[in-house]
Amino acid sequence: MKKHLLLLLTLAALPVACDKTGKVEEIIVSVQVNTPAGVTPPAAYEVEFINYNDKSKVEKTTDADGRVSASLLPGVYTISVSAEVFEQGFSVIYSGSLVNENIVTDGASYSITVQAAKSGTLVFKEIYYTGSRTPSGSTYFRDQFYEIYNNSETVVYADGLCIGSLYTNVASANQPTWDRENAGDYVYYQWLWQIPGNGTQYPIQPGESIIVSQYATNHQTEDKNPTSPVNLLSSEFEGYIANSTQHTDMPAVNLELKYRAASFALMQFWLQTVNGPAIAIFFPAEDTNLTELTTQVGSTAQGVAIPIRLILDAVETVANETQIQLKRIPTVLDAGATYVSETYNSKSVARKVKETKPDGRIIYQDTNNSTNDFEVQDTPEIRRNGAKKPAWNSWGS
Amino acid sequence: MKTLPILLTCFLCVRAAAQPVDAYSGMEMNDARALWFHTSNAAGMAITPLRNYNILSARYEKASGAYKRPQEGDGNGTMSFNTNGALQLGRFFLWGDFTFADNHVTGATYNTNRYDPLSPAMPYYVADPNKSDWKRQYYDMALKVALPLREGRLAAGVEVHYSTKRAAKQLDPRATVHAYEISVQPSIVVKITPRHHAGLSLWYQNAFDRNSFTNSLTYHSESIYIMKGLGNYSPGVVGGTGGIGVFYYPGSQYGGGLQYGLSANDKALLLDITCAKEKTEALETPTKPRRRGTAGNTAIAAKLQLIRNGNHTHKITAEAFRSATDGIEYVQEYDSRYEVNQWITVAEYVKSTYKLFSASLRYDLFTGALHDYSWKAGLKTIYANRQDEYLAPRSVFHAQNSYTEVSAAKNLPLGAASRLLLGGHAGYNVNLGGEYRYTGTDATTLPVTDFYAQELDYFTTHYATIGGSIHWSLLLKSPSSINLHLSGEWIKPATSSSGRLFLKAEAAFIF
Repeated sequence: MKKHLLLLLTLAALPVACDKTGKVEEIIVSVQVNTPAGVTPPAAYEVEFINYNDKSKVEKTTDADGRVSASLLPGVYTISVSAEVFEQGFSVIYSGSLVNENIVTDGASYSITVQAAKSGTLVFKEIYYTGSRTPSGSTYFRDQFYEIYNNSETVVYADGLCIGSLYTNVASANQPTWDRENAGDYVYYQWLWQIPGNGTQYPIQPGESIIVSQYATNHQTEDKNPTSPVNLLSSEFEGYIANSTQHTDMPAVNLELKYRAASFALMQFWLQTVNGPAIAIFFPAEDTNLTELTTQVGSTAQGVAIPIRLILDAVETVANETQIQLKRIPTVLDAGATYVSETYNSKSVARKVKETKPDGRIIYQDTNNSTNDFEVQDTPEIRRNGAKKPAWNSWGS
Repeated sequence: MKTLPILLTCFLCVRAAAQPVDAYSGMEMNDARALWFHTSNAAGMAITPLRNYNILSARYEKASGAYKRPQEGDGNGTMSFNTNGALQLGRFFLWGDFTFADNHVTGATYNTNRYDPLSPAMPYYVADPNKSDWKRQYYDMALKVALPLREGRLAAGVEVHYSTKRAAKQLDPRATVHAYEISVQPSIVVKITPRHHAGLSLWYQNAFDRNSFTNSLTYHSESIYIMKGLGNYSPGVVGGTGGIGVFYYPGSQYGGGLQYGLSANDKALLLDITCAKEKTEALETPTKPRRRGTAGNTAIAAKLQLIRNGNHTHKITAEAFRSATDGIEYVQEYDSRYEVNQWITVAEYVKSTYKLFSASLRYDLFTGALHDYSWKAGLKTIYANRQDEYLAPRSVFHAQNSYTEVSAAKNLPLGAASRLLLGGHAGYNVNLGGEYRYTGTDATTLPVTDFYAQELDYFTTHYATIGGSIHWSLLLKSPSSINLHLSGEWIKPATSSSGRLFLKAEAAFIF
C-alpha cells in the first residue's frame, strides 16, 4: 500500500515543473556616435531610444567624444541621433539612426555614423494624400497634392526635379530584397515623375513653393466633390497620364511619367495610397538612368533604383501611430514618420515653422525626422503661411 | 465530439429509476452528501454516489446596476437551458450535464476580443473604451463515469468536459470570438481499509480561442489597446492597412490531484489537493504568428469536506486556493527575407506576475428527513488577496477582501403534493486594503486613468449583499415534479449609492 501511495504522490507532483523564462531587468547599453571624416563634429549629440511597442522614450546627450550610455528595458528600439549647428548663415543638420534594433544584451554597444547636410533647399512643405468624403459619404482621392518649398537662401530651378513614391506601396514589416549590388545604398521608386524644362524654365525663389497635384483642377465643383477641401487649379504641375479617360488636361504643366510599377499600369490617374505613401524628390545626376529597372528577389516586381545620396527630401507617411516602426525610407533620409490616422478624413501633414526671417520669409523645420518635423492639419491648404507662387505661374489666380 | 455527451446525457435522463430525487430541496441534500462528486476524482462517485435524478430546466438571469467591473457591462441577460442527471446503471455510476446559454451584455467597455474578459489568467487581450453590447452563446457538456473494480477494492473513473463558445461585439471596433475547451480527467480510488480511501486524478485540458476584428465604418480605423497588464499596452488599430490581424489563444492545462477519504458510521471526511499548470499563448495572425504574450499559470487548491449525517446534517467545507500567473512578453523581429517572412523571437521575459490567494470556510446545517430537509442554515466566509505586479516599469495592483454571509431556507409543505421553499441570505464584504500604483510610460492614458481606476474602485470597497429566493414544487407521480424558482440579490457598495441587482427565474422539471 505504501508503494501505491508513493506512486500517487509522484504522479500528482508531475504538474509542478520549472519555468525557464527569467524576469525582466534593465540593461545598460552604450552608443558611440561617429562624425564622418572632414566634418566638424558638434559639441554633443541628442540621442533618443524609442520603443514604439512600449510607448517609451529615453533621451540622452552624448559627451564631447560622442559617447553615451543608457539604462533600458530589453526591447525593440529605434536609436535616433541628431544635432544642429548654425554655420555661415546655414543650418547644418547631423542625423543618423538605427531602426528596429533588438536591444536585449546587457553591456551591448552600438555605433552610429551620422551624416551632415545643410538644411534642405527644396523640402516637402505640405502633403495631402488621404483623400476626402463626398456629401453622400463615398470616397474621393483625386485631390491629392504635394507642396514643395524653397527653404534656402538661393533660387532653385525645378527643371528636371523628380518626384515619386517608394516601395512598398504601404508601410510593411515585409520589405523586399532587391537584386542589386550595394542594394542598401538605393531607394526604389514604384511611381516616378519628372518636371520638364530646359534647366532654367521653372525657377523657385526662396520662400516660393510649387504645387504638384494628382489632378490640377478645382475639386470643389458639383461634378467632383463639393466637400473636397482644395481647389488645385493654381497648381504648377500635375500628374497627367496621356490619353487618360478620367483626367482632363489642365493648365498646369504636365509631369513626365518616367516609370510606374506593373501593378499600376492600367491606372488612368496618379493615385498614391491613401494609407500613406513614402514620397521622395531628387535631381538626377548626369549618370542617372531613370529607365533602368531593378527586380525584387523572389518576385517580378521592379523599381527604379536611385542612390540615397541624390535624395533631396523624403517623407515617410504611414496609416497610423502603430506603423512608425514599419518604415520604408532609410533613416538617414527620414528617421521618423508622420500620419493622419484615418483615410479620407480631409487632413494633411504640414511641415512645422522653424523661424520667420526679418523679410517675412519662413524657414521650415527640417531635421530629417518627419515625426518631429510635421504636424497634422485639419484642413489642407496650398501655400499655407503666405508661401509665394512662382512668377512664371500665369494660370494660377 | 459533441454527440457522445449529448447521447449519454439523454440516456441518463430517461433511465433514472431507484431512489429518485423528487424535489429541489432534495437536490440540495443529494448534492451536499455526494462528497466525492465535488472533487476532481470522478471514480469517487462509486464511494459517495449521487442518488438517481434527472432535471430539465430553463432559466433567465439578469444583472443590472453600476457596481460592476467595466467589462461586465451595464446590463447582462442570459437565457439558458440545462439538463443533467445521475444514474446508477449496473456497476456504472454515471452523471451527465448539458447547458446551452444565450447571453446579451450591454454597455461593456475595455473588452474587444475576450469571451470571458474577467479571467485573471490572460493579461494579453485587446481593449477599447467604446461602450458596446456583446452577444454570446455557449454549449457546455460534461460527463462523469465511475466503475468499481476488484470487488470494490478499486474504482476507476473519468470525467470529460467539452464546451464551445462564440461571441460578437456589437460596436466598432467589432470582433467575433470562436472558442472551445475540452478536458479529460481519468481517476482512480483505492480502498485502503473499509474506512479509508485514497484517490488520484489527472487531467489534461486543451483550449483554443480565435478572434477576428472588423469595423462597420470601414473608412474609419478604430484605435485599440493591446493590453499587457496593469495599464501597460501597445497601441494598435482595427481596420485599414496596419490593422491588427486575427488573435488566437492556444492553451493547454495539465494537472493532478490526490484525495483522501475517511468515513465512520454517520461521519465522513474528504480531502482533495490539486495542482495544475496552464499555459496560454496570445498570438496574432496565424500565417505569420506574432507572439503578443504568454500567460503561464500554476494553481494549487485544497478542499476539505466534513459531513455528519442524521436528522441534523452538518457539513463543513474548507477551501484554499493559490494561483500564480507569469505574464511573458517577447522581443521579436520580423525576418523579411523572402524565404522566411516570419516573426522571430529574439528574447523573452517575465514582465508581470498575478497572484491570487483565497480561502473559504462554509458551514451548512440541514434538518429534517433523510433525503430532504425541513430547514437549512448556512454560514460562509471568504478571504481573497489579489497581488498583481508589472515588473518594469513597476506598477502594482493589490486588493484584499473578506466576505461573510449567513443564509437560511425553510421548506413549507402546501398540501400533500406541493411545497414552498423560502430562502434568504445577507452578507457583508470588508475591504482590508488595496492600491493601484502605475509608474509606466504614460499615466494619462485611459487604461490607467479610467479602466484601472474603475477596477480599483470595484475591488477596494466595503459592500453589503442581501438576497432571497422562493421555490415552488408541485410533486407529480414520483419522482416527477414541476418546479418554479425566483430569486434576487442586491449588492450595495458602501461608497456609492448605486449597486447591482441580480434576478433569476427558472422553471425545472425533475423526473
